[in-house]
Amino acid sequence: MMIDFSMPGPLLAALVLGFFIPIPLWFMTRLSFLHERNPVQFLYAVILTFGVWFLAVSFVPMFAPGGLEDWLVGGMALAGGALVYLEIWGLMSRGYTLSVIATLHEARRPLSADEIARNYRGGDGLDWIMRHRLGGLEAAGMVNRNDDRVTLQAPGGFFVARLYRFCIQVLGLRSTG
Amino acid sequence: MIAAGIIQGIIAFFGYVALLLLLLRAFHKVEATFVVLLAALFIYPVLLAIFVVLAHSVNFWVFSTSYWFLVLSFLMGFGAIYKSLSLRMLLTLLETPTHEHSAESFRKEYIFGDSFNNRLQLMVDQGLAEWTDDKLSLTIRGANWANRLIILQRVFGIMRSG
Repeated sequence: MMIDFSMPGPLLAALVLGFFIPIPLWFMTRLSFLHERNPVQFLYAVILTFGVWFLAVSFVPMFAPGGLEDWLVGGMALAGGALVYLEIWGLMSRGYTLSVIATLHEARRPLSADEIARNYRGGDGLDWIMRHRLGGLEAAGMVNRNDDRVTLQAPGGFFVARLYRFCIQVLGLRSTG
Repeated sequence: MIAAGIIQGIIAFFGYVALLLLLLRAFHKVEATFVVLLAALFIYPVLLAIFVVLAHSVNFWVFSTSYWFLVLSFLMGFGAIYKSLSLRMLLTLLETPTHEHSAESFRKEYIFGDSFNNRLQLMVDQGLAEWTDDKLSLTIRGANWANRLIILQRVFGIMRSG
């Protein structure tokens, strides 16, 4: 019985590069054509990191792979690191609760629930969330909006809604949202 | 050894999912996020020890990488299912006979209803904010969080979240 602690080269490269994903991400946020496009900034940063990792594994002897499995493990490690940063990035750029905290912080005084709702996101108000989320669903072709009426659109909307219902049932979740 | 480590990681992941399906039903009154995270942390050393005993040799890094990559991917999906307002709106539309709903109702039910109040209560529960005379203010801890958030957002050029 033993635990083997030897680390494949591509995994070592992935751990080093994965840790530093915020550096290419910061670089992407400085590019004017990506201004305020947070998801795209993150995507480009991850693509750049994977590119550097591929070059490092291909040309740096200490990161050289022993076989296909080493590539796979390294790729999983780098993708795992990207997922961790994606979660943080998602919270920073889309976090509902964090935005409420920022609203309270900016007000510099206690606020009632109605005032928080009005001042949310620098004065956009909570309605902004509604416009943003429904606008996203509409752009993805999942719903159609006609004044106050929102209609589920086939096939994308029905497919995603049914998949969502299936996942809730399988996981046994009682409340979501 | 490497390929075996990947397969062990995959088996461990399915063991985690199986355990989770039981735990989420058994402890449905407990916050699901805690159940999901605690189960992932609990089963990892247990299955690592089992594989060491059964397979006699396990590559720690390969096993850990495979397991945690799959768990993180699962958690991303779980987060979307558990917290997404958009998906919740789609489900409401699916379950309405005409597959139609009023945008105003969505606004009242999801934006100004449970979702908003749950977030405020979560902040209070976590010691980030407190109610005084029907007004909410940040605690010192909450103010520290807000400062860190704003600094990070400025560094990365994020104008506003939400």
